[in-house]
Amino acid sequence: MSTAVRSASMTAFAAWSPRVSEDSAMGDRQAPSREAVARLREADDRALVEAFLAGAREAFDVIVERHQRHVYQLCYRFLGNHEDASDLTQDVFVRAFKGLRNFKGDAALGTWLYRVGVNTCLNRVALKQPRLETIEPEQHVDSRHPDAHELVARDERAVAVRRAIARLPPKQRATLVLRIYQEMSHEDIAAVLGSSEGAVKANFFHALGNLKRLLRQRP
Amino acid sequence: MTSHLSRRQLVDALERPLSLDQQVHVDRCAACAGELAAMRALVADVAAAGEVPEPSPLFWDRLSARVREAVDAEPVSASGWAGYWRPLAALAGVLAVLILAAVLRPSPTPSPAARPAAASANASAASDVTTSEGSEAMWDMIGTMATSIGVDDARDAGLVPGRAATDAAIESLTQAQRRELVKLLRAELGASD
Ligand SMILES: [Zn+2]
Repeated sequence: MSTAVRSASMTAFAAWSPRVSEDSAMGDRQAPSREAVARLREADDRALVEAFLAGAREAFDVIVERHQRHVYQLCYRFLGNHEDASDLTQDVFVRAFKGLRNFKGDAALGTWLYRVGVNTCLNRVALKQPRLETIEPEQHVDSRHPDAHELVARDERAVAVRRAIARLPPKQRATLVLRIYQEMSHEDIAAVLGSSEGAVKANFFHALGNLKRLLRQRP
Repeated sequence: MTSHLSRRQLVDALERPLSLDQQVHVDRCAACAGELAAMRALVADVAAAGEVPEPSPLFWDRLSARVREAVDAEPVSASGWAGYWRPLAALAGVLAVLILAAVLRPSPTPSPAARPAAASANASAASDVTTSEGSEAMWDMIGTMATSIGVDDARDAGLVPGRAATDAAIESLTQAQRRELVKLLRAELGASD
C-alpha cells in the first residue's frame, strides 16, 4: 500500500474514531464511544475498510453486521443446514479479517466477501460432507391450509433438491449455487473459481445431469 | 442446423433465446427438446429450493459476537491492522539506533593487568560465554521494552520518528511476535548469536 493511500486511511480513521488512539491498538481494545460507532455505521464500505486498515478495529464489527446475512445465505446454500452455515459464516469473516489488507478495492467489498465465502465453502466441502437437513417438511405446513397437500409436496421436493445439491461434487455445487441463487454470470463464476467460462458451463451442465440422477435415485 | 445442440448451447439456451436455426432444430428434434425442457424444469426446482429459512432474530447478534470473539483471538499480525505495528516498528528503529550508539561504542580493551590474576587458559572462552549471556539478557530487555513502552511515552520523549520514516519502517515489519521484533533489532544491528 502506498504511503499516500495509507495517509488517507489514517485521516479517515482519525475522522471516524477520535477516541481510539494508536496506542489503544497495542493492548486491550478500548470500548469506542457510541458516537464513533454510530459514525462508522453511517460510513460506506470503502470508508469502513480504510478505517479498519488505519486501526479502527470497530470498523470490522460494522462490516460483519452489514454483510453477515448475505454471507450466511451463501453458506447455507452451499451446505444446506443452519449449524454448518453459522460455523462457516464465522470462518469466512475470520478469513476476511486476516485478508482485508489484501483487499484491493477494485471490486465491491460485498463481492470480495463473496469470493472469500466461496473459497471457504469449497475448502470446507472438500474436507467434510455437510450434515444433511433433517427437518421434516410437514413441520412447516399447517395441515388446515386448503393447499396443504400441495405445499407439503413442494416442501418435500425442496428438501430433496437441497439434499441432492449437497451431494454434488464441490465445483459443480459452487457453480450451481452461484449461477442460480447468487445470479452470477458464467464469466464471474469463472473468475471466482479460477477456471474458464467454458469449464463453468460444462460444470453447470454436469451439475444438472447429476442432480437429475440423484433425484431419481431417492426413495 | 442438423446436429444436436452441444452442452454449451444447451446451457446458453437456459438464459437466452435460441438462435433461429437452433430453434428450427429443437422444434424438429425430440431429443434436444426433451433435454432442454428437463434442464429448465430442474433449474426451476433448484431455484424454488433456494429459500433460506430465516434464523431467529437473536441469531444475528449472536453471530456478530461469535465473529468478534474469534477475530479477537486471532494474532494481530495476521490482520490488516497496520496501525498496530506502525508505532512498534518506529520504536524498533529508534531503539536500534540508541543501542547501536550505546552498546557498540568502541570500548577500551581491558588491559591484561585488569584481568583477574586467576584467569585461566580458557578465560577468553569463558568471557565469550558471559558476553553472549549478557547480550541475551539485553535482547530480552529490549524485547520487553518494545512491547511495554507506550507509543505516547515514546512520542513525548521525542523517540517516535516522523510519519515518512514510520511508513518506511512498517513495510519491512509483518510479524507480530516479540521474538520477531528482537530478531529484527538483531538484524538491524548486525548482531550475531
Ligand atoms: Zn437434436
